[in-house]
Amino acid sequence: MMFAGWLRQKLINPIACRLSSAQQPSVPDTAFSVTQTLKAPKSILIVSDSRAGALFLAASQFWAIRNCYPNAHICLLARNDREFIAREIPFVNQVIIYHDFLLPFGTQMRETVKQLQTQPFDLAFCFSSEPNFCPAYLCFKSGARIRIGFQREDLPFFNVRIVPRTEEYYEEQRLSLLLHTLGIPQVKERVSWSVSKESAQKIQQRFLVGRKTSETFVALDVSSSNGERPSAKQFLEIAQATAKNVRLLVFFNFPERKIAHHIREHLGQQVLIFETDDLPKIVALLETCHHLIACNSDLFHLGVSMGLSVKGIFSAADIPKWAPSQSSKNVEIFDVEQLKTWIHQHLNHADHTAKTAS
Amino acid sequence: MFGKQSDSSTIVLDNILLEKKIWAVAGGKGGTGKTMVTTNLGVGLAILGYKVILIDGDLGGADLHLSFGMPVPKRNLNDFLSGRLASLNDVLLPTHSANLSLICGGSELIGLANLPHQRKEKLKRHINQLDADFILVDLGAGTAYNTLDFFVISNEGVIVCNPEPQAKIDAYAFVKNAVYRLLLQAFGRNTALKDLIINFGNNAQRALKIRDLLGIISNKMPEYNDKAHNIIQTFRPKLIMNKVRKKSQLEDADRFVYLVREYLSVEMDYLGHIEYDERVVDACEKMRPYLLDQPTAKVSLSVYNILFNMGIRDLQLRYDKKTYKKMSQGVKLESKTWKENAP
Repeated sequence: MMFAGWLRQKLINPIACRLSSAQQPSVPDTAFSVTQTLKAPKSILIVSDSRAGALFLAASQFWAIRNCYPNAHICLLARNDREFIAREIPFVNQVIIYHDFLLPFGTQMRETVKQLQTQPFDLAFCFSSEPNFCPAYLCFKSGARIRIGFQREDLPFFNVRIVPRTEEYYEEQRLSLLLHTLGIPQVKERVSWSVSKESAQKIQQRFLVGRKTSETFVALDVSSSNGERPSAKQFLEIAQATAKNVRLLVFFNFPERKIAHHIREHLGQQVLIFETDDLPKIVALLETCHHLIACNSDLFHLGVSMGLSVKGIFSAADIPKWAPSQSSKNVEIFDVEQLKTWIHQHLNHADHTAKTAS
Repeated sequence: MFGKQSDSSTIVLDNILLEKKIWAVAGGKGGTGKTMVTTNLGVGLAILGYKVILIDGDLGGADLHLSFGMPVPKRNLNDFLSGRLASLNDVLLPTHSANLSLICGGSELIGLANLPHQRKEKLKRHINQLDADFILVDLGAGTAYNTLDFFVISNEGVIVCNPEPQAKIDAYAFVKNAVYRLLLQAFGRNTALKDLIINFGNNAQRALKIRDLLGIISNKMPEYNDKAHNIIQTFRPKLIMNKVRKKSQLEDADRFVYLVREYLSVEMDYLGHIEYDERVVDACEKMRPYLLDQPTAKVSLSVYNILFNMGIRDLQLRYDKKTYKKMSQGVKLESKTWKENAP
């Protein structure tokens, strides 16, 4: 994972930049007032970061942009594997989906650029700071008059560059810097997610088949995540420890489907497995769970924003950037061994106590 | 897109779309394997991760429960139709899999096959209220109005046919009757149009085509033209050729689809075939679906092939249309789980 990031930054991005420098952006030559454009843009493009959890972390920033520019047409550009989240964000008027590309060629990339260039954007915010070249390049190709992004030596695509602090700090704070520097007021509350009571009932009735009222549910997310993550064997050990006394809901995405099948094969019908492709379904199912166990994934950040009891599995290196501050009472960060101890002490013990009491 | 957000900072997701499909399985002739096909399609869907309800709609000759090892079901449709149970949900019986439930038919009431209109409407209403990804209704043989009415309850009826000419003739007659039933249901209140449809249908002098009937409606009552065309266009039954023994018999399926298109103006989707296999009879004797009893048999793989042909995907992302042949190992495991969790 780290090697892929390095390879992309050091080798592929320079080649892609050199190739793309020959292509001129469709920015109009006419002069324009930066102050006026920033004050009342008619059309805004938001380019999201495509890493796991980034859309949930940035949702409050999208809300702040909407509050600042209530009449602007806001378009969100998101990667295809995050479409199910992007489509549910209510602060934007339009969502454009792109497919990842290594070099600036190909039909799919041209289609996305064509779609972006159909509307003249006054302002573009690029929230991405990942090694991936695509978001910044698409921001550039959109032809937006003012393109705001984070300063990076390898990607010369913005005309307003925000220089982040050098030390590692929480991703949500980094994203807020982009707006704070431009004087866009922050929202006081963090965006949370829920489903209506009626819809939640429908979803739970449909998907939690054979559910008993006394049952305790715990969610385990094995889908793709940022940074280091447990191996398939470790995930199985966590699942085995958890599913002793509770019903386990395992969430997975296409690349990690084999881990979910592996768990299901070992633990049988005690485990229900769900693909993470439908946000209302995920939210409704998470609402039934007492705890969510996840790596640095989409569901971890969703769970944090929903105020669920979240047990994160993070490596020490990822904690400053991706784990919320200690003030979040519901969130606890562990390594695999610590997590197993916690499961033993809390889930198995609590259930044992309840059984004894009954 | 606005309005999804509540007053506070919480985004309330409301655009829930829980799809429900009703497949009625019929065939015209008796003994074509409707019940076995329904059972195994249901088991296949449950293995692929869908919530399924199987309903024995063979009123008067119910036997679906036997495929699940239930000689005498605890409750059945009679309990609902006679008012002993208020809701169809109360009639649901669990099976080996949490994903699959069963509504058994009853045969102890005399004349149950001739369901009065009111009871039939009540049953249809309650079927529509059931919650599942798929509801499969196993219908009896023949072209009685009750059977036809349950077949056209959704536009995705499945016809199970055999290669024998008798079965094909009966299947054709069933589709033809279903088309007329649909038209009569839509235009039954208009006496002139109703008479026109009945007279056209009863004119056995020559092989009449439905497009001729549509032409007559278009000329005589142009105001009903669009509706009539729409009814025929949206009716898309599906065909499964069961108990196939020779390759040449597969060509008959294409010919059948062509005839239905030519004479009845109905676009029929051919989903595939299931081979003749003695082991199916063995599974019947053991009162188990052959998909679980013989998971590696060709006949079982054909069922998955048919499901993938219908555009069904594996919710657990294990198999797809290209890899369905690898399913046998997975199904073996599933079969083991089903044995362990026998009701």
